[in-house]
Amino acid sequence: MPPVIFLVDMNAFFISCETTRNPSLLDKPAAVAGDPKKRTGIILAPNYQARAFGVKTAMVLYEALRLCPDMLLVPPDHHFYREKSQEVMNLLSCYTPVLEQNSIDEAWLDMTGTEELFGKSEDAAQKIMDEIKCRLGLWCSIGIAENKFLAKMASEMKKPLGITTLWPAEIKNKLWPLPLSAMYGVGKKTAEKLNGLGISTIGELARLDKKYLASLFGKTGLELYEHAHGIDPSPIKPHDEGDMKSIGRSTTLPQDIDDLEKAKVILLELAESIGMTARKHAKKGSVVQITLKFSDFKVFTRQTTVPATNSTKEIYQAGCALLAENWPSHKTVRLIGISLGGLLGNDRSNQMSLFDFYEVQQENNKEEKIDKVMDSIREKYGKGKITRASLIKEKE
Amino acid sequence: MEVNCNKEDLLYGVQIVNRAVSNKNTLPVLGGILLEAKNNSLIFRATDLEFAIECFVNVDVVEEGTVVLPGRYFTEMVKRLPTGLISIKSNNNFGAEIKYEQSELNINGFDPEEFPSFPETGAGFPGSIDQDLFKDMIRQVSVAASSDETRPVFTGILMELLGTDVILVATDTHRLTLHRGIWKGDLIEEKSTMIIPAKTMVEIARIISDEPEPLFIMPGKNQIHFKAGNISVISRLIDGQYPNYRYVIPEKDNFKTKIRVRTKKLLETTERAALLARDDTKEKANLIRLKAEQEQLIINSNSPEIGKIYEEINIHLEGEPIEIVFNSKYLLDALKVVDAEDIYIELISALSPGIIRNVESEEYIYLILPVRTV
Repeated sequence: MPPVIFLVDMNAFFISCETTRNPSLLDKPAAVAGDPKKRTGIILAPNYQARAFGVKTAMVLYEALRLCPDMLLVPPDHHFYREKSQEVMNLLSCYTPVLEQNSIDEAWLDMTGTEELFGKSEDAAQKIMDEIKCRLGLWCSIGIAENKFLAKMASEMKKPLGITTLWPAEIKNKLWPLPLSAMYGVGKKTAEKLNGLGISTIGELARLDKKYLASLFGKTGLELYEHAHGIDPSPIKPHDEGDMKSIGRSTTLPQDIDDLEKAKVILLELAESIGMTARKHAKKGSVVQITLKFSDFKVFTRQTTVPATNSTKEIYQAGCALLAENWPSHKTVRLIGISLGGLLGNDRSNQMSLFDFYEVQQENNKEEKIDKVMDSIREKYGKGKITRASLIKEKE
Repeated sequence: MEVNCNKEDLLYGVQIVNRAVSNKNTLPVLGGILLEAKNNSLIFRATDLEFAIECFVNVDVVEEGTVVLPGRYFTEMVKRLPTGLISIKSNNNFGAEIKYEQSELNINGFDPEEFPSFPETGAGFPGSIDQDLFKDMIRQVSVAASSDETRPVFTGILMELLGTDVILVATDTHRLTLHRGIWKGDLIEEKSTMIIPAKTMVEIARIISDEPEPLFIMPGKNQIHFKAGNISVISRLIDGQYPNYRYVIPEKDNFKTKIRVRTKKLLETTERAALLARDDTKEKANLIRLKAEQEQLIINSNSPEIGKIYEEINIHLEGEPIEIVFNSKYLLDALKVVDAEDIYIELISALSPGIIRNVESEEYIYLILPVRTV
């Protein structure tokens, strides 16, 4: 039985999520966009009405407004999108247990052998699409193929609400005419390099010699060759925490700063986010690393080892110590990042300690409880409902 | 300096002190053994500044005086000397001339003036402890001392003297050993507490006698002096506050489960189980799971890559059945040093400290903390 792989790609995901809770956005050009005052003032997700005006993802805000002056703008609410994404994933996992989430708005589904349950692939896809549309009010496109790469390519061919198959027999007509820039996994640099060799379509790429490609791009070259021929042996890996190596957060500051105290507040915010993720996946890490990017774009990292933890406070304290030690005296800082590495499962054994047991442990338990309570409040009511006092910003 | 002695006496002295010879190069003279001829004895002394060992043997002193000879070479040389009379005579440039049979050798040394003097300690506690007992106490307690230098107090053994009690305690925070010994002689009226480096204590255990001969203890401000016959050991004390160990030893009434088991049986089983409990993650927790129910103790361990083991041994169980996980190393250490045909394992819960001890006495306890597996 040949494999049947679906790629379900949510159309204009962020703005569609917004539309589900704000019907006034319906049928009008609208987009989720970063704050224009900040450097993050770009279009994150235009809806299809806005796209009709030529507005594209990642376009700078003022340029987008020039194209479409009446466009409604919504600030991003990533917590909400994550929730929605989880709803989508939950729905999809009713169709198959073998599901690999590729990003917030797309996932591969291994639908091999489900014909008896859901009928023909196209019918199953239609069913999924309808269910997502009816139950969640969201649109998606679905690509159907024998492997992950082809499914991804197929999903891109017809948007929105498209169902596209890309079976081996269809590769020649559907895949090969596409320009290289549309090929999943081909970045700008690779495309430029190939264009320089006179290769502009996937079909032309497929005609190149395998060894030649390997000599040009190494391992990636072999993968390019295989993909161009519609071959992709990579398995669908249901995301479990096992493959999580580290958890990191970073933020580019609205303005460069030189004030260590301000940086600490930002660090706390980031540490909180890391702590939440780590606790959610029941992971503890023992390496805390900070990243600083200075105004001259030079990047600086330092790390330290701590007893395995997922407590916000401990991650923050380790990060803070690194920050204080390495805070530049004559440069301003543009980006601050922190990560927790050396992750081990929380459920791993934990040799108990005598004196900790009675003293330190009590202190830890307190922090652990605080984290736990905050996590569950946020889980239920949203991220902004509870925060640490030091993170409360003065009203501007 | 000039002495005549026999090889056995010389070798005895050298081997007693040679463990205190420093192997660091910071102060070369510490790599030496000091020999001092005085009042018909030859005194041997070595120190690495952590601790010092001194001992003496009776010899024929021709001329009093002192010489410091390089510890390693001198020891190796003495071991290889023929049995019989040996004469040692200092020369003018800090070295010595050693004569035996028809032969002689010269060995260069250090300036004795540079050798640290043996620190003075105050008057000793009135009375003594038997050397064979103290030796056992150290052996049974020292296994739990930590080697983590970042927390110095745990690298030491706590010694408490009060009344007729001599208590030794060691812990690396994952287990704690305690042995209560008997002080012979006058009561010690005021409680005296000190932390002695475990390494020194192990050396003391090595050189003191297996007989119930008296060991005298003389505390100083920063040092402590142990005297056993012709041997003296002076050790640095570890500065710091030892945590209140009494606090963490559960009250007798709290135990809910009491397992009586043959030590050898459990040791053999645990050794097998430990082989299949290698954990290649950083935690190095080699877990073995014990489950006591009815008259059976079930021992389990598994290592995904190597294999797994399941064993049952007969026990006598009082109280509630229990399932608990230990680091196999901590359990093995306990079983190896407990010196009892049968032991009790007393437990409260899967997440509380347990105690391992001889069924016949409560002088020695080995407190062990379980591993939390969720």
